[in-house]
Amino acid sequence: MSTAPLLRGVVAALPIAVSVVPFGMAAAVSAHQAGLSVIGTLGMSSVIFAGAAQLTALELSRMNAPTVVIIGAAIIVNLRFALYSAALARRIPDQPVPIRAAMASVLTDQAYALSAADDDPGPGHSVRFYFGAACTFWIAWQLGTLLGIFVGASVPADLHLGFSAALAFVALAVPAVRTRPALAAAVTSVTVYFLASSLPYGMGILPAAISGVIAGGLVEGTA
Amino acid sequence: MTWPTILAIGLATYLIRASFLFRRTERSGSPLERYLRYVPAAVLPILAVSATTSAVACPIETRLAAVAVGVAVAWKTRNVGAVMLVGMTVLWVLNAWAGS
Repeated sequence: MSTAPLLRGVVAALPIAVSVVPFGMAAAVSAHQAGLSVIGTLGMSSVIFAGAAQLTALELSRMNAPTVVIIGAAIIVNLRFALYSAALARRIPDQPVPIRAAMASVLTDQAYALSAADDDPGPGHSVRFYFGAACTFWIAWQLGTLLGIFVGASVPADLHLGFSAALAFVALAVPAVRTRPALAAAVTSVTVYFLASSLPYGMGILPAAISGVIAGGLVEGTA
Repeated sequence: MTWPTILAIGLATYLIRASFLFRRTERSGSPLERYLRYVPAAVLPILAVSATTSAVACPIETRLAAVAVGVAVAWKTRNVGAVMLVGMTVLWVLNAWAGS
């Protein structure tokens, strides 16, 4: 068994992992502000392991929202993972259930984006590439959480390190939008996202993503 | 936020992540595949937009300039590290310039 695809995944993930660290720090600082203990903060980052949902849940918790609202909002924010899950499943037709279970546990925006962009179709290669990338992000996320807990407030805010996540997504998005149907998908989803911007806490992501995916498929059908 | 809430969100999130990975895979050429191909094109620009608009500590002009340069670098190089390095440099330089 070759470890080359695994290492390729780690190497591809490293620059993006740099942007995951400040995101993890932001989640930890937000958890502290919401009154979570150190153990609670670490528990949240390892049990939930999804930045947008963690920040959403913490924000609602700080506003004393009912528990059912907090859980419901986090679920809506994370429903995009079902799209990744479906797209990823296509690439691994022959993998056994334990491998699929492990893949699901480390599925993130970044891990999905990298594996979707990787076009080495060797047998089993995409799985090892995926784990190399996804586990690198897992480590970066936990590292960010620890840094947020222990040095959180002392990192100079002027550096705006959190903004590097936006640039990482830009870098992943541009190569994904090079065909006409892909452009239609992108324009549709961003338009719907802005139209849905009155929905609270990033919940517009889901309707926007679904309408973009439909637009892409429809435009491909007319080509 | 309490442990039961954290565990409930964690469990629900895992089930969402596992959802389609636990289904027998669609064969190539299924109608669904035509749509799933556009998941990255639909989702990644939204994540870029939302991460850009939510970084409110920084002036919107410098954020947009950094993203515009980032798009150009991404178009030319497809190199994530280069996009982040150049984009952050633009952000820092413009912020320093605007602040002085």
